[in-house]
Amino acid sequence: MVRGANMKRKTAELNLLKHSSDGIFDFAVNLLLILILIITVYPLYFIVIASLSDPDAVNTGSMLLYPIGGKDRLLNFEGYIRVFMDNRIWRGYYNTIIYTFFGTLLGVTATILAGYSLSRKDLVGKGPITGIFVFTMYFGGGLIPTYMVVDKLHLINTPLVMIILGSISVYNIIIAKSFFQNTMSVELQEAAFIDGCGNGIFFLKIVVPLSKSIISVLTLYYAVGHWNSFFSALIYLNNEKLYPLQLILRDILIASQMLVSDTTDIESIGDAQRIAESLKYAVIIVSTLPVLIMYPFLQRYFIKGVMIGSVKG
Amino acid sequence: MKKYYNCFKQAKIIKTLKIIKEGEIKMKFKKTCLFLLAAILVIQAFTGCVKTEFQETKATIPQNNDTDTNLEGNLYKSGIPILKEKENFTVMIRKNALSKNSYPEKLPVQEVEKETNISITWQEIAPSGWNEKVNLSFASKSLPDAIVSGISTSMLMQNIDSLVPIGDYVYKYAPSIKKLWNERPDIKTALTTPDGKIYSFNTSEESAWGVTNSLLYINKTWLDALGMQVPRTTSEFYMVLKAFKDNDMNKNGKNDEIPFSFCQQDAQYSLNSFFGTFGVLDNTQHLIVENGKVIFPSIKNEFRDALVWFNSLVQAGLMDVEGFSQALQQLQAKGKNKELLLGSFLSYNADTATGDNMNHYIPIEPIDGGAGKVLWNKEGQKGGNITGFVVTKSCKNPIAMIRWHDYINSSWENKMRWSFGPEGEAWKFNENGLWIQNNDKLPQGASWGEYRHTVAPASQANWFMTAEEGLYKRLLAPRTKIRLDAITDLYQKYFPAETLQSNFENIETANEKNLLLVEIDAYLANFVSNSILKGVTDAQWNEHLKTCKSLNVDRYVQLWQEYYDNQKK
Repeated sequence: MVRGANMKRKTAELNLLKHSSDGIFDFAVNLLLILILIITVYPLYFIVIASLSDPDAVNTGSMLLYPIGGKDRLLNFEGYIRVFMDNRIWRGYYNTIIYTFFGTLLGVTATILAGYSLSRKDLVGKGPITGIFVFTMYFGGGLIPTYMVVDKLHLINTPLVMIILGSISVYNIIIAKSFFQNTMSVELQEAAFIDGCGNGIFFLKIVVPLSKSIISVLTLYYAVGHWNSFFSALIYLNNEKLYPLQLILRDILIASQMLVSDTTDIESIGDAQRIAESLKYAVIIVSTLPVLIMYPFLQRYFIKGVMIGSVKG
Repeated sequence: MKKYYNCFKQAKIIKTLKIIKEGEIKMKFKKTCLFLLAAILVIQAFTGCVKTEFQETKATIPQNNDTDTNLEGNLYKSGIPILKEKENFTVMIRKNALSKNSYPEKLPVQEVEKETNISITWQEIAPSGWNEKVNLSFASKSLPDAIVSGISTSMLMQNIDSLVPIGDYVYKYAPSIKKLWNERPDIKTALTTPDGKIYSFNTSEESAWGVTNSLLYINKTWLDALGMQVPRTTSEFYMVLKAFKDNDMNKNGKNDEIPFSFCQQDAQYSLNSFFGTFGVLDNTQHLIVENGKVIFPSIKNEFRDALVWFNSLVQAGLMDVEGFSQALQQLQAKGKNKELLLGSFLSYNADTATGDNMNHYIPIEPIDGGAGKVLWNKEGQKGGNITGFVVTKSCKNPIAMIRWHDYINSSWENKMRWSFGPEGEAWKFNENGLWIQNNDKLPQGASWGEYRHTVAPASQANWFMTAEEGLYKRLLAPRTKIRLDAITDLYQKYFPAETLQSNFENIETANEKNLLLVEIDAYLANFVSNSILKGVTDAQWNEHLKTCKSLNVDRYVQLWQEYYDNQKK
């Protein structure tokens, strides 16, 4: 009884303590966090309200906290209307989805296979193979030699180049490899072999079902990478019908700046500028929305993935 | 020993690769900047003075048939079709962002294919990736048959071994280009590379209204309200700006009028020409020519006078101090403000800076600073886009490509078709027989520029029009007309007699000049803005003269002088 009362008093004391000095600390921490939150969220919020505002209001800096639609309008949907009426953007969306889907499929499959093999102690030539993989992380042929190889493989101007080129990242292979090393123990493998499994059955029936977390992490890494990539499309694609979304958006925005120097028709300069101004923010929203929506749901895998990949002593 | 040597070699290769890779990223930005500069220089094309009215001569092109004697293999030496059996060529072209379709879908492209028997596989490159793509195809030798819409002059010089000297074929196979060269020998000179051969044809146009960049605009509504005359001298200009500032011109009770604004970042809105008030000019090269001598104007006393006068405007609060830092969009936002803020400004056109407020503004004559002469920048590129059409050595039948280009440029009708599309689509004749923009067929929500670039190969394609052809049978759009009239009536008389133009030159000298210019340019931008905002003392001016010397301005001027003398020969 005495002991219980003691405990009670102690807890009360603790609470008291918490209320006096810890309270200030908590308050300060919360304040700081809220400030950081504002700093990080405001740019995102700015883009959202800018996409619904009159471009002139954005440029003068009069739009800060809420959207200003311009002439007798509360909101300005012109940018969105332009985006949704533009066929190129929809085709770009379609292409990006195709590239992302197949690129991720190929990337994840290959990465899991490579990561598993390299994690097995009985793989012959494990050291040299890992070495070769790692070598490519630090040294590359450079743009022009790569272009020549792609050209000789007749991959220029095909959707395949977007799916195959850069589909596997050595960094991800290493993440997968350390995951398999840590979770799929040799004992497990031996037990399976005693029960009559070969390497193939073991991989398909035991390893893959037990690796859902690493697979989802890799899927995310690859999918986000494919979704945002534009550089290989810029270099290896010439046909606009094959362009991914990011490249089309880049074109719409950057091209209008290039055109300023083109005085051959004054009309077009004004047009391109106006279009870019009204499109800029709407386009950013439209292209990032899918990833933005996906993120909160899959964020926990991201954190988990980094933990899985880390090398434990 | 050998092993060590190999190791060393490998390390060196890896190092080079790394440098190349790092360089790529840095270079990209630099390249874009340089490209923009080059594009400004190249595309702001024009002719010296508008000569005689352009006369359209109806060149009837003979029709070839199977039994013709001018057949050379599969190629007819003259007339159309150009080829007996259809052949396919690859052409790389920069795609305009306003275009909503691809080249094979454009009617003029289909027509020309039918007429010439030359079918084209178009490699349509997005403008943002143009430089990278062209560089890559040269570097990897996977070249198209021809490249249209302009590579930089330095890119052409660097890759001259991969290009066909198409100038050699002109007198035999390309009558329309021959005609142009005979009428305009200056264009032929501009196209000639240091080795004496011609590797490119010029495209685009020498538009009559593109002969200068910014014009000076003033608020006529406010002038009238004050009962003041259009200012002609520096003191009158000062008085007008002062009146704009002191009287609440836009009647909103706030002192928010901006008497004079500009945008130094953009050549079309910058102060460069305004220095001409005191008889010197600033421009992208920071050079002017007087009596055959290349001069660096920024060390002249007239230049200092200009700085001092601008500073007096700043001190009186008459000049927008944001002008040096603001982006064009900010100037435009000020101009478009419903409250009407701007009193006077430098701009390409009134409406590009002020939008719906454009009717309040008129262009005025350059201000006279009492220095004995007044100047205004003339942008001196002859021949439009001088690298607009090149044929590469990958082309199996270069003559066919040359004849194709020649045919597209063979008559005013053909050029119009290639540039503005079929008659009745983006353009039409009015009741007076003059051609005007046609807005009847615009799809819902599309602008005229988008429609033009959709029905025609348009601005990036390989047609060339002189200023006279550009005005031929044409009723200009009102704003273009205002600009053209302002140039002919108010500005032309202040253009310097001689200008520099940057054509083809050796890579080494071009590089040396560019390197010097980078430093000079960065220093001057800083010096000019500082002097105007804070004033310039004697000590500072002497310091400036010393700095210019240490930046090797003399060498820079000398290089340009040599180049200028060579061009004149």
